[in-house]
Amino acid sequence: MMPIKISPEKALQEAVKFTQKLSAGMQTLDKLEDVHYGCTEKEAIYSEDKLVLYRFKSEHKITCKTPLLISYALVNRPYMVDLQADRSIVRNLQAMGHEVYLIDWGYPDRSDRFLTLDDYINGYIGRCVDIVAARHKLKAINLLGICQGGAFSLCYTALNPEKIKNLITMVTPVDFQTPDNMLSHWTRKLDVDLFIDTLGNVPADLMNYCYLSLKPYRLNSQKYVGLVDILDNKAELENFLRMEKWIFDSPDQAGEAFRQFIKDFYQGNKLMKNEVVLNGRRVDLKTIEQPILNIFAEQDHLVPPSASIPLKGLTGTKDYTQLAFKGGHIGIYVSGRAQREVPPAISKWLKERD
Amino acid sequence: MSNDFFESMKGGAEQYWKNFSDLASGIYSNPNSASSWSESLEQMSRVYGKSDQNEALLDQMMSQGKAFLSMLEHVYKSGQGSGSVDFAALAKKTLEDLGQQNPFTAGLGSNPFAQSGANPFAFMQSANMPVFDFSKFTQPGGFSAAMPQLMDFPSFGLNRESQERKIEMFKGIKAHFEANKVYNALTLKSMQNGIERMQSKLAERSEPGRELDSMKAVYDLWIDSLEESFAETALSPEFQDAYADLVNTKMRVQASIQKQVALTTGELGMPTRGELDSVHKKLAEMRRDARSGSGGSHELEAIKQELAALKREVAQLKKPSASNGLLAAARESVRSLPTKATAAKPPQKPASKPTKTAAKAATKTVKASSKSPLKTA
Repeated sequence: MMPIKISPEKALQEAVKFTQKLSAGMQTLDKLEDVHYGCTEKEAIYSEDKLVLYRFKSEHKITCKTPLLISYALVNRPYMVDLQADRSIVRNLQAMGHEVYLIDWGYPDRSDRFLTLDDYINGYIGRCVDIVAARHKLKAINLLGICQGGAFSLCYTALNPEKIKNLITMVTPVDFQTPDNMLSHWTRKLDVDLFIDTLGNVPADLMNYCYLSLKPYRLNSQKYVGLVDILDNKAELENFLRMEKWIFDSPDQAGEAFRQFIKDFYQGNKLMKNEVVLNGRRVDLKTIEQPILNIFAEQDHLVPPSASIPLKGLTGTKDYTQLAFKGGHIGIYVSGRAQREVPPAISKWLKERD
Repeated sequence: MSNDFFESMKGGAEQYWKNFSDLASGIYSNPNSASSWSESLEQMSRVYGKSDQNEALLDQMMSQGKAFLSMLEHVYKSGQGSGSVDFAALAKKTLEDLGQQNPFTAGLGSNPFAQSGANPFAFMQSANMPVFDFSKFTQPGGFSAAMPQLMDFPSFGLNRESQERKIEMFKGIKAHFEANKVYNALTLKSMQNGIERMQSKLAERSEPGRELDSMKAVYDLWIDSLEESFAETALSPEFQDAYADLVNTKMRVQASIQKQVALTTGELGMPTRGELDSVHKKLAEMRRDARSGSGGSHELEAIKQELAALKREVAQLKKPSASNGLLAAARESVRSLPTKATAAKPPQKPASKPTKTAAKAATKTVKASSKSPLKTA
C-alpha cells in the first residue's frame, strides 16, 4: 500500500483551490489597513530615559487593595499583554478587580549601550515599584515578571524582599542549562565580550533571526503556507498581522545588560546557583519568602518547562504554586485558552493573598 | 468623485481577476504546458503588483506558496501514469526548491549572517572604501587567488601597522568562510536526515486508512520531519561549536572592519564609534550617580529631613522662655552642623560631584552632630 494516496485529479483540485484562496487573499490584504494593538486605555505616570511606567485605566471597580506591576522582557514589546480586546491579560485582570501597571522599556539606542542589569533591575524596576507603592500608600506591591522580566523580578525580589507582597513569574527561565533549551545550547560557547564589544547594542534583526532559526521550517515556511487557509477571513488575518507585527517589532538590546545576561544567566547559570551579583549585592533566591505563583507553558520552545520548574526548590517561600499551561510561549498571552485560564488563575491566587 | 468612476474601477478589477483565473486554469489544465504551476503565482504577483504595507508578508507567502505548488505539480505529473507518488523524488524536488534559498534564511532578507556569508564587504565597495576587492574571495580560487602569499609574509616598514590590520582582516574572513562551510554542512545533513525521517513516518502510514490523502497533509508531515531532524542536529555538540564559530568569526571580521572604518573616518575628522562610546559611558555613569543621589538610596532625603527636624528644635530653643544656657548650646550645635553644600561634598574632594560615598560620609557627619549638646541639653 502506498502511504501517499493522492490522485492527479486531487492534486490538481488542491492546487486550484490553493491558488484561488491566495488570489482572494491578496485582495483582502490589499484592503486591510495597518493593524493596531493595545486595547486598554492607559496613562503614563512616570518616565525616565526610554522607560515609561503606565497605569491601565479600568472601567471596573478595583476590589484588590494591592496593585499589580508587570515587568516584561527586554526583547519584544510589552503590549503583548494587551494585544487586542479579546486577547488581553490586562483587560481580564481588570475585570476581576485588579489595578494593573506596566513597565514599557522602550527602544534602547546607542546612548543606552552601557546600561547594566543593575540599572534595569534595581534602578528602573526599583523606581517603578517605589512609585506604584507610593501611589497606593503601601510598603509592598504585587509583581508579575514575564520571561526575562521574570528573571529580573526574581532578582529584584531577592534583593528587596520588603517591597514585594506576592511574586508571579510567567514563562520564566531559572535553570538556563537544561538539555532541551536550544537557545541556551547555542549561546554557551559564544564569545560574548567580542560580540558586544563589536556590536555595541544587539540589533533587533539579529535577535529575530536567532529566534526564527530555532524552528526554521515551521516559522519561515509552514506558517506562511498555512496562512492561505485564513486569507479569506478578515478578522483572522488581522489577528495574524497583529502577531506578525509584535514578533518583528523588537527593540535593540542594550549591550552591557545583554553581555551580563548571557554570561551570568545562560553561560554561568548563576541565578539558580545564587551567584548573580548586581552592584556588589549577591542575589540569593532563598531570601524570597513571599508567596510565588510560577506559570509556565508546556510547549514553550524558548523557555522550556524544564527551565522554569526548578524554581520550586530554590526560594525560601513556604507558599509556592505552580501552573502548567497547555500551550506555547506566545499562546500563553494571546490564545483563547490563555484568556480563559491564565488571568482567572492569577486573580484567584492574588485575591487569596491580598 | 462620481459613482461612475468607482463603477469603472470595480468593473476593471473584476475583469482583471477573471483574466487571472482563466490564465491560472489554463496552466493547471494543461499538464504539458511549458509553464509550471508555480508560474501562476508569478503571474499573480506581476499583475497584482505590490501592496505597500503587506509587501514583506506577501513576498514570504508567495515564495512558500510556490514551493508548495511545485510539490503538487510533481505529484500531479508523476501520478499521471502510475497513480502512485515517489516520495524520494518529491523530497529531492522540494529540497531543490527550498535550496534556492536556504530555509534558514528564507524570508529573512536582512539576515546578517546570510549577508555576511555572501559578501560581508559589499557596503565598503559601494562606498569606495580603501580596501581590497573582496568580491574575489567569493569566486573560484577564493583566497589563494585574491591574496597570494600575503598572509604569510611578515610586515615591516612605514605601512607595517596598516598591513597587519589588513592581514588580520583577511585571516578573519577566511576563518569565517570556513565556519560558514561547516555550519552549512551540518544544516544540509539535517535536511538529509529529515528525508529519512519522513520516509520512516510514511512507512508507518502504509496500512489502509492511515494514508495521506492531501498534499497539505504530506507537506505538514514533511515539515515535522525536517524540524525534528533539525532539532536533533541543533542540540548536538557539533552544532554548538559550529554556531559559536560562525558568530565568533563573523564578529572578528566585523570588529576588524570597524577598526579600519574608525581609522578612515578619524582621518576625515569625523567622530569615531570609540569616542561616542566614551561619551555614552560617561553619560550612563552620570545618570547612575544622579539617581542614587536623588531617589535610589534616599540618603539625601533623609539628611534633609534630619536637618529640618534639627532646625525646628533650634527654633523652639530660640524662643524667649528658653534659658540662656540652652540657647547658647543650641547655637553651638547649629554652628557644628554641616551646611547643605558641605553635606553633599566631602571636604577632601571639594571639586568633585556628589557621589554615593560622599552622601554616606555626609550622613555620618549629620548623625554625629545630632548626638551633640542639643539632645543632651
